[in-house]
Amino acid sequence: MLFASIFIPDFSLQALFAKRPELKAKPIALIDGTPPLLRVVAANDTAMKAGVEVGLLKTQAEAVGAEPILRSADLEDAIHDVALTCARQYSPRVQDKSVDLIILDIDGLKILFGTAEEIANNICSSLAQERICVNVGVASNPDTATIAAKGFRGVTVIAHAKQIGSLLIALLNPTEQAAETLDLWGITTLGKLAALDAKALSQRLGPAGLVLQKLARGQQVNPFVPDEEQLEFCEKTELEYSVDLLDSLSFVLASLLERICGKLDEYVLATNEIDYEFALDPPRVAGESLPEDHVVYRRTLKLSNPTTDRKRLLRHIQLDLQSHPPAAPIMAVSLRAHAIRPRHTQLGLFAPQSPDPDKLELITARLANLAGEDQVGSFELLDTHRPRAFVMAKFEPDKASDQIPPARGWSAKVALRLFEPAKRATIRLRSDIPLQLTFDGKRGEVIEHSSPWLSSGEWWNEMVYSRKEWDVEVQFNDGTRGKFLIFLDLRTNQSFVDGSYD
Amino acid sequence: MYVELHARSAFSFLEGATLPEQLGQRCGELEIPALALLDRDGVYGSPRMHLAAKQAGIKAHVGAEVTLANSLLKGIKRGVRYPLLAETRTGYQNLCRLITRYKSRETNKGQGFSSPDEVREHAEGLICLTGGEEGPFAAALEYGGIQQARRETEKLVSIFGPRNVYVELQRHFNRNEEYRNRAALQIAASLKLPILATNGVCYTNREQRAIADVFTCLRYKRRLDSAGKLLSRNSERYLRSPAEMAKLFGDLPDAIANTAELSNRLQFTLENLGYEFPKYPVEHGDTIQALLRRETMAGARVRYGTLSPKVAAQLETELSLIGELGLAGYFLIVWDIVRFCNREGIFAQGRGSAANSAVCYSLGITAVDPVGQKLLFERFLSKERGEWPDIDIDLPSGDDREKVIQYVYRRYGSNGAAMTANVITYRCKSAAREMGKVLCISDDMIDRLSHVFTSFEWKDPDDTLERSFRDVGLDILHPLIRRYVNLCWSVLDYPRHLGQHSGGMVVSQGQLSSVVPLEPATMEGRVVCQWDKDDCAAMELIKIDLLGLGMLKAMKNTLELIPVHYKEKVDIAHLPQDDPKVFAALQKADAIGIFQLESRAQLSFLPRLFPKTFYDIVISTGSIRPGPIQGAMISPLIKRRQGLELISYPHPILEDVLGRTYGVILFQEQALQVLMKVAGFTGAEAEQARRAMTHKRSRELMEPILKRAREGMRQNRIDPESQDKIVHCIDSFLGYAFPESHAYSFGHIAYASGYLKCHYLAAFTAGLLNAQPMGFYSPSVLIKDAQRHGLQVKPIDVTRSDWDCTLEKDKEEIVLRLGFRYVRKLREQSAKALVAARQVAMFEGIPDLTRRVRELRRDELQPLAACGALNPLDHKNQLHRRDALWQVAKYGRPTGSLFNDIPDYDPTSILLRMSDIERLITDHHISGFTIGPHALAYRREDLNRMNLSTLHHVKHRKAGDRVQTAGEVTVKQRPGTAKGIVFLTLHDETDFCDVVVKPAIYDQYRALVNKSKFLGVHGKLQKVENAKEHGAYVVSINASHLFPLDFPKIETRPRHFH
Repeated sequence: MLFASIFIPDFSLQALFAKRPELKAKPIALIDGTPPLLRVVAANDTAMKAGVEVGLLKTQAEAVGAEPILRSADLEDAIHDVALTCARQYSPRVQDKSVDLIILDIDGLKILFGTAEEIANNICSSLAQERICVNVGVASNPDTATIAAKGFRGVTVIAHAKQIGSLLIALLNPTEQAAETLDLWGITTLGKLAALDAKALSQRLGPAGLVLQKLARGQQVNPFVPDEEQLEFCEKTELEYSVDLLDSLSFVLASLLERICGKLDEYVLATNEIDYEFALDPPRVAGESLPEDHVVYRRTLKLSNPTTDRKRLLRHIQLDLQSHPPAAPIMAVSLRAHAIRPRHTQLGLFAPQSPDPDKLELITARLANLAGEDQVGSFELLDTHRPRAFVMAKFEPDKASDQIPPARGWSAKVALRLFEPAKRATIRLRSDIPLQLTFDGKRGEVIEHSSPWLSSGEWWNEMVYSRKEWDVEVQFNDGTRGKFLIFLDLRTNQSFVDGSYD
Repeated sequence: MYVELHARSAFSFLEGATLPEQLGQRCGELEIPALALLDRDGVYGSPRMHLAAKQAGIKAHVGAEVTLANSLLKGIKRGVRYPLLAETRTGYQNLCRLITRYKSRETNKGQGFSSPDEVREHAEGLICLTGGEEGPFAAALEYGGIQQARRETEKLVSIFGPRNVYVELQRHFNRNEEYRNRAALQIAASLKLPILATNGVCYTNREQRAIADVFTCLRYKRRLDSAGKLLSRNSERYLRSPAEMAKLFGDLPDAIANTAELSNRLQFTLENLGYEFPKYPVEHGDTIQALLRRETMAGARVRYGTLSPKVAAQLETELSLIGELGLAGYFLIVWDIVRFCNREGIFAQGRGSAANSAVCYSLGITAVDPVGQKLLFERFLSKERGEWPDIDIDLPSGDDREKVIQYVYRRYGSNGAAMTANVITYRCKSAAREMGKVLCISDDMIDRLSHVFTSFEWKDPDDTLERSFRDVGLDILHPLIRRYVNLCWSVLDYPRHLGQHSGGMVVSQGQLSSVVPLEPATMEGRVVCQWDKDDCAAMELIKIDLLGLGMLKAMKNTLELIPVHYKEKVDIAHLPQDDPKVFAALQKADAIGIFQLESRAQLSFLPRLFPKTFYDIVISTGSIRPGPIQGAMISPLIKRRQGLELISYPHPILEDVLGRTYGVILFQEQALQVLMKVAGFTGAEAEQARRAMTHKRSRELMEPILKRAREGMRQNRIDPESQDKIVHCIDSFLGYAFPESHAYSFGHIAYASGYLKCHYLAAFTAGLLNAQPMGFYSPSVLIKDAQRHGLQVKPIDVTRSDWDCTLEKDKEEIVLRLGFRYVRKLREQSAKALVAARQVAMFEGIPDLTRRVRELRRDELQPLAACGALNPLDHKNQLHRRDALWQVAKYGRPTGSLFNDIPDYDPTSILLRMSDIERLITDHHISGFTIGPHALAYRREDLNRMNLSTLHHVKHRKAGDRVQTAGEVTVKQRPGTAKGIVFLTLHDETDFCDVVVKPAIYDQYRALVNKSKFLGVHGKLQKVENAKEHGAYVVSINASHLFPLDFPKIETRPRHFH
């Protein structure tokens, strides 16, 4: 067997410099974290020479003249994808080990791509063209290849384990205790560790010591597990003329879904995630280029239960398109379904009757389509005194019933219907007593009120709030009466009606 | 009129967010005539509230919130708090006893609770409020509705009586609270109980609500963003003005009126504490005074032999004053403690002003003859003082001191004696740490921030919290960081938790637990009272300080070793006072390890002073103090002594007072005598001046005294220039100076330690090493100093070492053997088991050792092997540290049959011997020092290449030469008296040398000075020679440039001093 390990040293920095090579010559400090505690996570040599250290705060890095740049996950993903794509060009058996490490099985590729060394060199040079500098280690097992890639610069082909003998033990990431013991023994390199008697070592450091020694002796410890390719079913069609009506589009979608679901059925699989991509035909002005999202429409539909039910899938896509219509007529349609195993649920004989989850999901989607996505679901109250502190969670009736707080003997029995959002109002006050309330075009006299209630908090962040509330009964000019919760926002001095009491 | 009768302070430990002083001051401003402080489970803050109230001209009522178990209210799962107010002294005593009772059962700090029966038993004299949201009424209402609330209130009435229960109403603009108020009103009306308005105050002003929230988070171990409803709903629990309260309870005027009425009922204040010092037991027909006289006279005859008329007269004066002031019992109690020490063979020596008393000397409490030394008795005791004398006893730290403390407990009972508390307050570091935690600042940032808070005594004017934040790169303009800084500022000096004072004990006639609640300390067998030493003093509780002195322990260790190894017996009380070796050593500043004379400042002072007599040592111990230094007394003292300046006096009449100190004021007594002589101060005025000098806020108190001194001097026609000099001297004594008697006491210990060092170096070094941590220097420095004096130090050895360092004979020479106490991670019990096993039979090898000493754990064997302690187990002398490490690594790990064929000792081990540098690094890692060459010796060639001379070479260069050198930093110091100068002591394989880092240079190299273990220095050599004594000089380097030396792996432990 023969494996190549691609290691991208200084990964975050390389990701930046690949995109912005002009920065290389400057003292650059990559920073990450939550403001104001942005900290240096990597720095180039120029910055290090200027006094930048990993862990410094942004302001400290600036103080020594370094240019702080925020670490970008997008850039890092991009460089990782480039390296991964490059690896896959040489071998179908690739293990995406971590962001900066990719292992590939290159056994038997000589006829196709040349010797192992040639493959490694080619990988290095093709990535160098993308401004990515990598180390490639080649060995008979993935662990040794990785050690070589991490320990040596450029391409290293390991023919004999002695070649890695000069590398430091720290490369194996031993535990703190093992590292201290080995240090006390004077065992600082892989060669020295490899030379110890295995039984004696196991007696002293236990199985973990043996693992370290195996690695130091160039033996395999971790299995090579090539990434399985995600099974996806994709169907495309180009339309003869652009479509701008949902009904017409539904016809096309139905036929594509039919084909996809047919394949899923063949493989006894189902899908809970469909990506759909439409090529659009927007009006164009000669000589003007349009941004990508004007010409391509992409959405992903996610369902809680995997299915092959064509009608259900179509209905979900239709509802989604109604809520998020494309900006221009559609020229081509592509659907990609992510296949997973179908889920079978054994219903309990004595379990309470509940709606069919599939139907419920469809109904919820319909409601979301009507009311807006963030307006449908279950309330989840947050643990804070802040008024209206809740999040809208997915509607799950079984879970929701568990979350109702136990009623206490003296808790209020009156129901409050909150207006969402609270209604702007005008409150006339005298010595903190509300006299008159105007809102929704109606004016009324306050005929009864409770004391003002005060709430304030979250003084430590931007959610800080402070308000004065009253419970009032109002006699409106039109003869109607109502009981309301009204409040004055003490930070903005604006008045609102928060809700009405039953 | 409104009186706030339910307030909590920060002494409720993480529940209140204000200090008693802030409450008192605000009450004064708002014209609230009285306030009741009800802290949780104690009266911790009451003395401070009492004093603050006095100052604000208001009355401080005393009470506490007493936690009760849930059993009183069935169904309630948490404890409830009963707010109890002390109406009478009986009530207060009951409260203290009640708290003491349930605190004594506490297994976790702050988790104790009382039972209904205990409350019933202690209810007399107490008034109970129904409480706020944590009170019994709210709890009953919440869990059982109005019926349960009524039953609970009836129960309170049955315990405290109908007159002594008030239905409490609080209004914080909260719906639930108003519901509770309505229920309370209904029940109060039906049971005909009075209603009472309070605001359940937790902070003085609204801004402090943030502190309350932060404290809540700390209490529940949450962060602000996850504390949720544990935090308060709004900011309304502040101290409201009477007008605000009247408006708030406009519909219930009785609730307000009743506060004044109840306040009038509460007659008890801390003014009326009822504390009595214990009476010394005497036989029937005898009196305390007669017993004291008898014992004093008997002691005097032993001390003085025949009593001279002067001594007899002094004793007579003192005894009659003691009798007149009724203090005989106090002296006898201290005498009793000293007698116990003598019986047990424990060194005990009175320090402080007690050394001015011939009675104390005769009773054996002090070691200084005040008559012979002409010490001022009035400094110790006078009619005008109107306060108890202060006798502090120095004891060897550790077990001996504990024996004495336990004796006091046995003598007065666990409820009759207690250690004084030590209130741990927020300092910069702890504030930054805890505030950072709740604000979600990352741990490593908090760590870095803690490191920039220097512990130096001197603070630059811009050494602020803000600067520290900026130094670690935090942008203090950012809102989050701004809030962080503000919170840190706000909580500085707030109490955090209660500890115990290092030696202060209070004892009482009868039960001390009736005077102040007592609680068990974390340390087993210790009981601590709820007040700290200042509060005890303010409440006039008598304190006896049983202070642990590391040097006494070291001397005791030394004296135990001398007869065994030197075959001599040394009596510390009868040492020759003119030993030439001692004075020769002090004259050349060879004083490392000598008590009080080893500091950097002393080492530079001694060659200039050139001590020749015991009194010179007294002068030396008294001189290097902030008072004389700030008063610019040192330079004239030295010049006059060296004959460079004529001895002169601010006024001729002061010759008698200042003659022995060359015309300068060194001691507190001298300052007082000067005032009496030149400004005509009476004894009472002098006493006032003494208090001002020793009081914390002495600047305020000193102003009128200095004014009065000037007036007196004008009347006595002292010229303005002399007036200025005298006033400056007296004023500078605010910065703390020794009483002469105290300098004498310390001088004795200093001389004795010097004597032991000069004559019994091996025993003294072992004594010092076995008494660590103590003194100015680390063991590393002490060992290197001893080695320079020719002492041979042997390494730790499992075949010879004990837990402590010991002495051995090697070719007729006494050598020091390092003890197991210097092996990192090795427990005393394991070491002692090893020694016991060795005494049965010597170990035949490592396998034998591990088989026979089962207590030795794997993580203890490894450091033993690493430091070479196992090497001697190989009779062929072939075992080296790595061989031993290899062998011990397999013990402590379960083995199966697979390993049966592996021999115990593998002579073919491939591990290489440690190199010199590796041994050095390992020694520092395991013991904190090496007995081999100094770390810099290994780098000497590099240093030579860098043109960095040895410290020995540098010290012999000419004054004014520019020098370049390097060394290990052993001491860092920024004294308050040195105007921002940092002093570093460098150490290499040849010598020590001081480096003076002036403020501008320190600013430039701040991080380097604070962090580096090894430093290179460029600078100018300063050399001050003694004009009279050729060869006695002081050397230091005035640094102009500092740089780090790369020696990263060595763990050195520099000591920081103020």
